[in-house]
Amino acid sequence: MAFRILRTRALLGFCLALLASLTMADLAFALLYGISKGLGSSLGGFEGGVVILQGGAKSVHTSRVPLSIAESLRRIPGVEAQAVTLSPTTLYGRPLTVRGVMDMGEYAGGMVEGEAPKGSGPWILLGEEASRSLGLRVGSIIALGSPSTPRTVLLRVSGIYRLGDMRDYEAAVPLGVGAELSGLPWGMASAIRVEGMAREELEKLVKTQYSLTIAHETMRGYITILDPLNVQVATLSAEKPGPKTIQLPFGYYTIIYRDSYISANLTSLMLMGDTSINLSQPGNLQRLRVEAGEDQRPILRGGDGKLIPGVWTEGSWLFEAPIGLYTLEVGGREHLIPLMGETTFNPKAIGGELGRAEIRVQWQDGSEVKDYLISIWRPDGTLVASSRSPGTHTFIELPPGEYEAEVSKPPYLARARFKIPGDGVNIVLPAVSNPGRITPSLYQQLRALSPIEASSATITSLLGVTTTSLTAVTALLTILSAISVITIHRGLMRSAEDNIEVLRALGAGRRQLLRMVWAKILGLDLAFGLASANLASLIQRQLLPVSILGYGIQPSPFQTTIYSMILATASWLISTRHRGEEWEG
Amino acid sequence: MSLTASILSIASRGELKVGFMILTISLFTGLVVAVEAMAQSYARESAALREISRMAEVKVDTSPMGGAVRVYASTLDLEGRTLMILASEDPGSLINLEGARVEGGLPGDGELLVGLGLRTLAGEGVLKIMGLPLRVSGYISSPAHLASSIITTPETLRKIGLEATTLYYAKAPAGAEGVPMAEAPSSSSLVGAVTGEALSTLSILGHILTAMLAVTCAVQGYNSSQEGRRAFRVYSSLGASRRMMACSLIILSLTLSLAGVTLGYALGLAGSAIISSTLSLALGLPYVKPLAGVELLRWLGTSYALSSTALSIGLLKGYRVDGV
Repeated sequence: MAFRILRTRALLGFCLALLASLTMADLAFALLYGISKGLGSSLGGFEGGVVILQGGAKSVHTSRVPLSIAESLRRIPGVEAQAVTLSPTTLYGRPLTVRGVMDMGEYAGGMVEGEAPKGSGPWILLGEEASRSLGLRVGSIIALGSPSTPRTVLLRVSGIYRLGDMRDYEAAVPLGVGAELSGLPWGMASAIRVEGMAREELEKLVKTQYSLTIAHETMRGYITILDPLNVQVATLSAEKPGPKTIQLPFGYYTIIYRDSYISANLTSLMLMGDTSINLSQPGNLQRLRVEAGEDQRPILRGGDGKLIPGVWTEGSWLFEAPIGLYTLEVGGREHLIPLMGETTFNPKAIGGELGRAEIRVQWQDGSEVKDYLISIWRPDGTLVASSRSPGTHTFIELPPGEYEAEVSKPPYLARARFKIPGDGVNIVLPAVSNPGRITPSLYQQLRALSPIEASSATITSLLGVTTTSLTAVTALLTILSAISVITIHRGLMRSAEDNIEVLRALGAGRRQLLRMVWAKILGLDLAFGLASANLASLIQRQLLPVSILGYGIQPSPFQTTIYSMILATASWLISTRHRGEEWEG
Repeated sequence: MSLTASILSIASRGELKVGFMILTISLFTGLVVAVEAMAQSYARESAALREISRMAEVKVDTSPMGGAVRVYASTLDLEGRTLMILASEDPGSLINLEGARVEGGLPGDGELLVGLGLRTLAGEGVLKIMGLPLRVSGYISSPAHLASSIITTPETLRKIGLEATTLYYAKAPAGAEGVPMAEAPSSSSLVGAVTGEALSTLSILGHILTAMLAVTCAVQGYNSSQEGRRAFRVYSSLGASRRMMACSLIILSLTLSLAGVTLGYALGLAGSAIISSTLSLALGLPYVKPLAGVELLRWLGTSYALSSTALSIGLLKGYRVDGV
């Protein structure tokens, strides 16, 4: 009935025009929505939580945030923190965003080809979409240029991943490689994503400077405070009495006592407010048991030459002295004794058939470590030998067996087990040789943002437009689309005007016309709204592969369908109302 | 001619719903103009940005470039670590191009220059690779990415027996021709690439809008003919031929399109300038001055051609359907 009233040819034209108009409107909406939402959320991959960025940074790509904050936040129960670096660069002239990642676990779970290697190194993982558009396979060696420095990095494609979000359009590298590509100094990241803490609380926490008051007994040496990256943030002389107060930003700190060649871990604390601690441990006397005969009478001297008296008890000589480095004379030989806790020393341990072992010591960045103390311990805790070493390689001769080497380069301490005979052992001190210092002002610049705010800043820096202006364009486009669809409705009704006049003359009221004609048109509108949304998504995916900074604008079928339905229904409502008024007039 | 004048006169009195037609054309054209003016401004700004960006100093490619150093690159897993091995006949130039700092000497045949991160693997100055003992001639102390790299000679790489990818390193602008695999700093090429993407997106948006304009004009023309069918019947009864009517309707659509496109041009430029200045004042964003260039004329021409053609088709179709 409705088809007869509306005239078949006009209805066919109406359907085609409606489909074309709605499809184009949906396409434009999908494009704008894709840019503002998809790209925005993907640039950080920050779908939830709070993002810490440097205040004043134009985008996440130019932000600098101390990595130590992420390491500290991870130690708070219930809080997840991930530091990332983001470097936009080009490969064969095509933009590619390279993400430096702290923890590759999520990527390892999404590998579709190859694998995510363990540890840092010259490797890269490619998102499935990026590998497709760049035509790269696992095993390829690629060069990437830093956007800000004249430095190229050669990397091997170790795997291809699929995470199902916009990160499939980018590449992932170890955090250190990402930081180098971004031109970030050591210990910095582009941003930190935090989950499990409210935005205001987080911003206050990272921006505030807290007082740390340390009370201690008067003693030789120094008290050093290390941050979670083992960077020395403060050093206090322990020789002056009285509590000392220093201002520090939020963080997890380790407090170390150190004297020449000696370091001892005193305590660790999470500084989240003004805190006072009392350090009394370094002043305590430590016991040294020397397994020598009663007649050998060992002599123990402190660094200042002061003699420490010993007593013969339970078959060995016992000395009590504060933490420090001592010289023990026994059997006509001198031995260095690092006294950092209860220690047993056996001067007869080295004897008989000896094997040679190489102990290699370096900083985290591979630099040579000079002038450190190396001590060799048996598994039962007995000190076997101890010596100062001038360079990276130390050769030591010991009887066959298992040992533990302890390297003390105040304020750092590292241990590793090795066997004789064997290949020796590599010991890496838990710090870099020359870390940069982070100024307190950087902490005050930090801002905790929602993912939308972080994305908006990034879109602005990339395209010169804000999500607000994109929303304004989308709104204007919606109005124009509604005009277009209303016009099409009017055309249909115009073509059927004569038939409708006849119906009215036959006594059909507004309600009957609504049921017989307009309800059917609404059905068509909704059907074409649905069809056009799907068609628009298909066209966008197959024919218009739009990308910004290498990120493909992903179709958003659900949002596009909702938009299409709202547009079709609103246009129908306006047309119905307009025609009703005309008829009543 | 008098028929055309008469139809235009009817239209000017507000019949045939021409006001709505002009409004539609002007709104669509305005949005197209705004998008295009901002796109041109963006292109100009990005060109300036590209000029002030730090130009590339080093280029790497898989094809030979003038004055380039040939490098064979391969990877190796050693004691659970992935290492990059670079071999070049001219390791000194490669080190210079990488801006690397070296402690020790350049590698000769059977020798390696080893990244600092691999120092502990090189016991007593010798590093064993695939069972082959090779002397360490020195260490690379920076940059950081070379900490896991080894630089050697092609002959040594052949002895090790690894397959390698051939790359060419050159100082820019030695290899200015073509697009290289990578360049550093890459900011200039990045600006160019992102600008290209953004302009392509805006161009697609412009095409969608003009297509929507065409569909809307065609339907509006049809509706308008239907509105004016009584007037057309009067003209027919007064002896106006179908050809004369068609000519007059085409002239009407050309006139309406011209008015709509002109108004749209003004609306688009003024609107985009007002929006940009409002955003600048409200959000502190930089003011982007809309730019009217030759490309904008092309878009205006397209809008005019499409809207007038679609309007003519719609008007003529509505006139014929009516069977006058």
